[in-house]
Amino acid sequence: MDDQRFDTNDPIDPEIEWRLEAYADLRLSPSVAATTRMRAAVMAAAHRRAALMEADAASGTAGALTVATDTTVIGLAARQARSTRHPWRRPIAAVIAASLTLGVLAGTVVGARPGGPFYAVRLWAEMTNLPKDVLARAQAEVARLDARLQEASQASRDGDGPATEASLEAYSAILEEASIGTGGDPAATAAIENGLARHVEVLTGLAGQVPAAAREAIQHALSSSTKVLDGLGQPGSSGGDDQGGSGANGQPGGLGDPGVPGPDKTPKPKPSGNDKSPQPAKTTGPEPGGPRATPDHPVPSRRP
Amino acid sequence: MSLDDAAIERLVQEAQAGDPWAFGRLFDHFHLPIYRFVACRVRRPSDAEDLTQLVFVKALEALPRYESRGIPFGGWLFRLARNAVIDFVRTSHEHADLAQSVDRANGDAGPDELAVTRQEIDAVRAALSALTEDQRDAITLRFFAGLSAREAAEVMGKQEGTVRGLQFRAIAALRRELGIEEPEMSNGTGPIEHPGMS
Repeated sequence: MDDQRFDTNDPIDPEIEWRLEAYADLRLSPSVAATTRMRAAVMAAAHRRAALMEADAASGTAGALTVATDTTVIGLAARQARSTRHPWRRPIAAVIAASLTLGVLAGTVVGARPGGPFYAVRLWAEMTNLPKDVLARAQAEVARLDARLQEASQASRDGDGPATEASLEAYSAILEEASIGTGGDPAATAAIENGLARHVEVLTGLAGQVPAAAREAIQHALSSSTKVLDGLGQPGSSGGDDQGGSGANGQPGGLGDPGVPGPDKTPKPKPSGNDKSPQPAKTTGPEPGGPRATPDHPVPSRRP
Repeated sequence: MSLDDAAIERLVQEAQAGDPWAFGRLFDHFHLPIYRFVACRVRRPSDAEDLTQLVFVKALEALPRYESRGIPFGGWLFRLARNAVIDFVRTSHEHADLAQSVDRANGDAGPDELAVTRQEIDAVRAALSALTEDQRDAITLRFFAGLSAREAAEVMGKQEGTVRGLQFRAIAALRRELGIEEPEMSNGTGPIEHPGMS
């Protein structure tokens, strides 16, 4: 460029040239620091572009290359991450996205409050994750009952009538499932009985404290608990429902209380797939997998 | 740093192929004229710095689409710079204000020398301010950025002769403003040609 600056058709006097040069040197030249900054930024962009080209060449993808105008580390990292494309990247991304969605949904469900929109889903999820082993299942059911009582106590302390009611209704429904699920297994029955004895005390103490909206529910829970305890105490009983296939007083719920929901009233959504929870046969005869009280397997004490 | 056209084209091809080092050489070669061109049109040196950097980053982005087609890389780069400056001035409502340019004092100069230099510089600045925009562009591209008349014409989107004419009139105006007498043409080349004036 400089070589072509002044040709024979461009005469200029040295005085003007000198003054313009001096002006440019003093006023129109970047400082060393400015030059260093500019060069560093431009070279960073050049290196990013080179990295992108290498990555695109490696993955065999063609496309227009763009260079980040931002010089932030975040921008650089994002572009470098974007540049490392592989054929399996999309499926992996889809799986990750699905996992994240499921995780968020699961977190929402697990954290669902009693009476909330996801509470029934939470109960259903708990039920589907119950273990298959009878004793372990009974212990898990007791744990679920404990949790419901804790929720009811907390909601009662908060003065939240609907939440207390929802917790106690769930308690009654779980109790019924639990009593059926023992299948007459002595150890499972004992586990349920021990838990229920404790629960009756808690429910009794809670009865005078719950909000008005939940009084009926707590009476129901108390009634269910005592009746299930009585039912478990019957020789050859496998739970509340075994007090009679049509209920102790002829009600379908089997617990003698017209308001007691039957197993099909469990607050759970209707899953599209198979319900993995075992549905024990409502028979009064011996259960195939659960021995009755025999001389070799005596039924433990029914009441604490 | 001096690079001929062939070397510049070679560096451009290497930079297009993704060689950062080649683009660094191009930056080293062109950053000063680009900065000067930009600094003539913006008020603050920091703006000149940002715009110069932006021009080179834009050049990097557009490099895959660059084809010589008779336009030298320098001319293409100055077009980018010119567009960047126009956009900047338009969006910031800033006008070239040579009178408010920030001084970058010569650290080696003594007080007296500095005072004289400052006076001379101020005089040049005032003289440049008196030029028309096209005349100032011609001076900027030819003297500050060091482009040839052809390159300056490409950047300005004018005929080469027109640029020569603008330059001639600009120099005459500067001479008047600075009180410099017209030099004697003693080198046998005859009177000063008035290009583009016909």
